[in-house]
Amino acid sequence: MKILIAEDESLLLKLLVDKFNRESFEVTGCQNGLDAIDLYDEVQPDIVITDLQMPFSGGYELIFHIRKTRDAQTPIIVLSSTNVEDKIVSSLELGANDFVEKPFRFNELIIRVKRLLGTSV
Amino acid sequence: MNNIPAHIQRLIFIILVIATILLIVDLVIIISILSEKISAKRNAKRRSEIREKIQQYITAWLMEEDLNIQEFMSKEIANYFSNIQLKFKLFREILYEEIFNANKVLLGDDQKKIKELYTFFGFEQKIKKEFFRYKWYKLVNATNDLLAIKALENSTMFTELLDHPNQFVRLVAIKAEISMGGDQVDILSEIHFPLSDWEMYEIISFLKRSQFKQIPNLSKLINHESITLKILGLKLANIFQELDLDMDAASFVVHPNPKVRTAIIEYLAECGGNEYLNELKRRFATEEEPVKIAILKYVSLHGTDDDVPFIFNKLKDAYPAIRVKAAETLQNMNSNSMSFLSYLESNGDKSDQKLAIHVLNKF
Repeated sequence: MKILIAEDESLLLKLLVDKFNRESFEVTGCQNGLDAIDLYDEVQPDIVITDLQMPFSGGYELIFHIRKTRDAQTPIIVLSSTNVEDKIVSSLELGANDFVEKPFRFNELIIRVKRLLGTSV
Repeated sequence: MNNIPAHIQRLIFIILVIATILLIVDLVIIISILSEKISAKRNAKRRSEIREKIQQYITAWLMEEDLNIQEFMSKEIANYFSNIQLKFKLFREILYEEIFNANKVLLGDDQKKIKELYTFFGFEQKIKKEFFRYKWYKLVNATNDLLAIKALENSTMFTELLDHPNQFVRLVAIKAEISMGGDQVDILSEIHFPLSDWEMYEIISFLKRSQFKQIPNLSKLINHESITLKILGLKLANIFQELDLDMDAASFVVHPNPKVRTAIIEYLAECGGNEYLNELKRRFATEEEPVKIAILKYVSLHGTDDDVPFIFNKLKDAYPAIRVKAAETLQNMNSNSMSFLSYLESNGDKSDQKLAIHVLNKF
């Protein structure tokens, strides 16, 4: 399974890449929304994990690109420190499938990813 | 050259000297700028190399499930963390930053492992030394760091700081006492200083973030002689939806302090019944603006169709905030009824109808 992770904090990105690699995912990571949009078209991932606030272009733009421009149904999980209800709602309205708030537990995120992919938990 | 008069020769000499000096100064400036740039570039490269190594190390440690920290340090990846490296200020600085970056985003066992790193590298002991420094901001920063990494243990020093003249120190002492838990959650009622709005906001946010199962004894706070603690108690009761309170709500509704009146009305709006509806409507005209807004909220949640004319009249209030609140209230009250439209039919005033149409269109 291929997973695309867009997260601007380098340490967290490393942790996520390493964790999902160990779970036998084929992981591609990037640190801004613009790269994520390019990589999405290139990699064609099975699932996307994205932060909301990133340099150049954020998670909203990535979700918009996937849902509206590409009209794709790839599952999207938003991983963000924002706890403002409006932002959670608007990312879900835009087409994200799930929202995980930072700080978070890796195991919880892995379970959510597997559930969305319909693989064994 | 001999034909040139002496004073011209002197002038040429002076100009040459000045030009030479300026040239030397320019060269020195250019060289220093270049060396500064080279050194900044080298530093940035070094920082990023160190950061990269530290991130690899933290990642490896977090992925390790079976080893304790001492065993992990004997592995190859930990070689870089020799005592020599740890003596460098820059290295320790970046290590500290990255431990906090990880701590900020992780929960549960992963966060505990980050805390183990923090303790292992001696940051906890070092930071506690800051408590005894003269500078207040060092104490505040140190306490905030220990709060973030959840490394604050029982300490009596914060009780003494609750009455510190500096509001930042007081606030961090309150947070420390609350986070140490147990009976100390009740520490709020021990505060003698009046709390500013900012302090209240920070305490409420901290309690919300901390997700305490046991909230402070709110009845004690609400009945405290301090006005600001009373207000804080009422705000907390509202946020935590605390219904079982030992208080005389009727006396707070007519309390001489408008902030107390606002807080109790907001609490009653969310957690109370409609028994104050008529009294609050009666008091509306003589109240201050924030209290009026709280009353409108109360009416929007407890009012009936009979209250529509009362709210409608507030659309013409002198204060814009009240007009907006009145419009929102009408919109809330009419989500389940047609009373607003019925009122309009019975009201022949053209300007009222125009205003009502505007409100209906707006919301």
